[in-house]
Amino acid sequence: MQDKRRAFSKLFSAYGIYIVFIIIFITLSVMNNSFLTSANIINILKQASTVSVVAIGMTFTLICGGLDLSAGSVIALAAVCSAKFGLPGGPPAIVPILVAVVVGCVCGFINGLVVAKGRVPPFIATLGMSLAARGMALLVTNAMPIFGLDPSYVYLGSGKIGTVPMLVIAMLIILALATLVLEWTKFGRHIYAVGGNELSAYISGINVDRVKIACYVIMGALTGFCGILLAGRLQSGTPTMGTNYELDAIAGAVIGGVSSAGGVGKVYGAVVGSLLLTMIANGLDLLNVSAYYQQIVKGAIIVFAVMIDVRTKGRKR
Amino acid sequence: MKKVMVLVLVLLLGLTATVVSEKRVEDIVIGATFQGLSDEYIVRLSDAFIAKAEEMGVKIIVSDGQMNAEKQVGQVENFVAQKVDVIVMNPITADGCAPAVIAANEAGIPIITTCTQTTNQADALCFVGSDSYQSGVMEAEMVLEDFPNGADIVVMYGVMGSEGQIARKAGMMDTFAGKNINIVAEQTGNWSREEGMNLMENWLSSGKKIDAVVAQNDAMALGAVMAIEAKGLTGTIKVYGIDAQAEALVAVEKGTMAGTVFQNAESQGANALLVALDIAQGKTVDPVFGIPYEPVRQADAPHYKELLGIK
Repeated sequence: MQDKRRAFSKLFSAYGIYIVFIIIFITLSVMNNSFLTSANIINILKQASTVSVVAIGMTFTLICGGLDLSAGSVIALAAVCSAKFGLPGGPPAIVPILVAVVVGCVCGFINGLVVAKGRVPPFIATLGMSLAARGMALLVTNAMPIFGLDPSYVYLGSGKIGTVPMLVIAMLIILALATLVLEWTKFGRHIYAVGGNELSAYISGINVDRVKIACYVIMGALTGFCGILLAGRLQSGTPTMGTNYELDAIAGAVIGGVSSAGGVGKVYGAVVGSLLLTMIANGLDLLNVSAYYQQIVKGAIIVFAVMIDVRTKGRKR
Repeated sequence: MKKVMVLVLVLLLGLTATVVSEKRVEDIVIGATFQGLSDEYIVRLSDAFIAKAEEMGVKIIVSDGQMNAEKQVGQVENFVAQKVDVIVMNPITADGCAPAVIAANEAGIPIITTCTQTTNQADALCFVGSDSYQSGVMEAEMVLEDFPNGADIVVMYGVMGSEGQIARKAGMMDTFAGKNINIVAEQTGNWSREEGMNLMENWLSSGKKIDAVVAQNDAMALGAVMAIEAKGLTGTIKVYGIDAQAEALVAVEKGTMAGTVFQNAESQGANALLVALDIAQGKTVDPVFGIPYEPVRQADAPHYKELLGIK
């Protein structure tokens, strides 16, 4: 009996959030017979892709001991800037894609510089960027949505190969690349080292500032890329888009086991966390749960999921 | 003799009174705060207000409320400190901006609201705008017109608890009462295109029979249109919105949306300025300056596109 319980808790501690994921998945499949259909699963993957890309970037900033509250606004800024080049008769689609990524990188670089060299707490530095980027997005568009985008521009966000949306493919490629960088490169190990213990990382000769700045630039690039994905999905660039993306991304990453204190976490965890949140929202829509209850249920599940994760991990020690 | 004296005195008094109240337009200063210039509609509203002020030659101070009631109250307090002649407020929330009306009244500076109201609207001199309830009625009437034998509909609400959401829902519900309209699903899309699209994707895969989508604004309606298009169901499900924003007018013209409701930002902004000017010059005004909504169907779309300068 004792052994059995220990075995269970061991299993649970290693895979806590995944078990929660599977339990909710099965529950929703039983409660609603439209949930487990290929069309609906594609819906969930599609709806989770954009926020997953940001959650992957957020994982870099969280692991190195920071966070980025400017994501939602930078998405909007990158999207509207690139949409300006995405109208019919404009340059080839690679130009707006580069514009979005460069805009994101510049915002990320400024964030990183202010955090690493300016010694401003990430919370404040990125909050400032959040306000500034949103303001710029409004300025660029005069608060008017940009629509009527070229089909080549919206392909990344709306196109598909067979039945698989491009969005999902783009997200999986980014997931693979991010995993590669974090798990298989020296730079990846340095990120964990800086987030785990900045002082000992510094003493062991790691250029802490450079690692931090690089993390924010990666975050910015992915945020900018998310901007073009989202603009493609919505077939418009709107200065108000991306609202609350930073919070969803942080929630997704933390639910997926990325420590908000730095040094711990995997990018695939962040994607699973984002999928979990999207799946819950999707399930509640299918069950036609009232808007008021949806918020309560979502809030409770987020806290509950992390609590289970933390508890099981705590037992391991 | 005495009588004549009194008469002359009264006349003189009257004369000076009119001289005092008939303030020269160049000397009038109007302070205005708009709920937030991040919204397409509010930008049109404030642009119309500013254009009218330039036309009339009135000095105005315009503040951006940044979607924050507290900021707007602060801005009205600043107008009070600057001793402007009239304050125009476009409140972001009905209760959050109520203190601004009290502050202006305490300072003896007339205040009016435009587009949206406060809970203590009775203490303000005038409301220049349209009645949200009516937009809900108008949208529902379009649905009844298209589905005289009844329909299964889904409803997308704005931010739950906001003035527009509550009033538009009331207007819709009252219009549908007793009619054969069956709401198969309802949910908030928080006025957002992305959330509207997600909702519609989820509902479409739920296998429910849906004849029409009633969205409380165009952004959510356009999100629904895209989800319907992606499923190849364009034309089989009718989509309705409110706001008549540029892209929605294009959609109504194309037929991907069945209808929207035009709220006249240009008229609201211009008339808010004119009413404020009247008050500054001592004229009395009615407590409500109503600007009606207008339904927009396929045939009307070109007219409204031209009105808003859309190619």
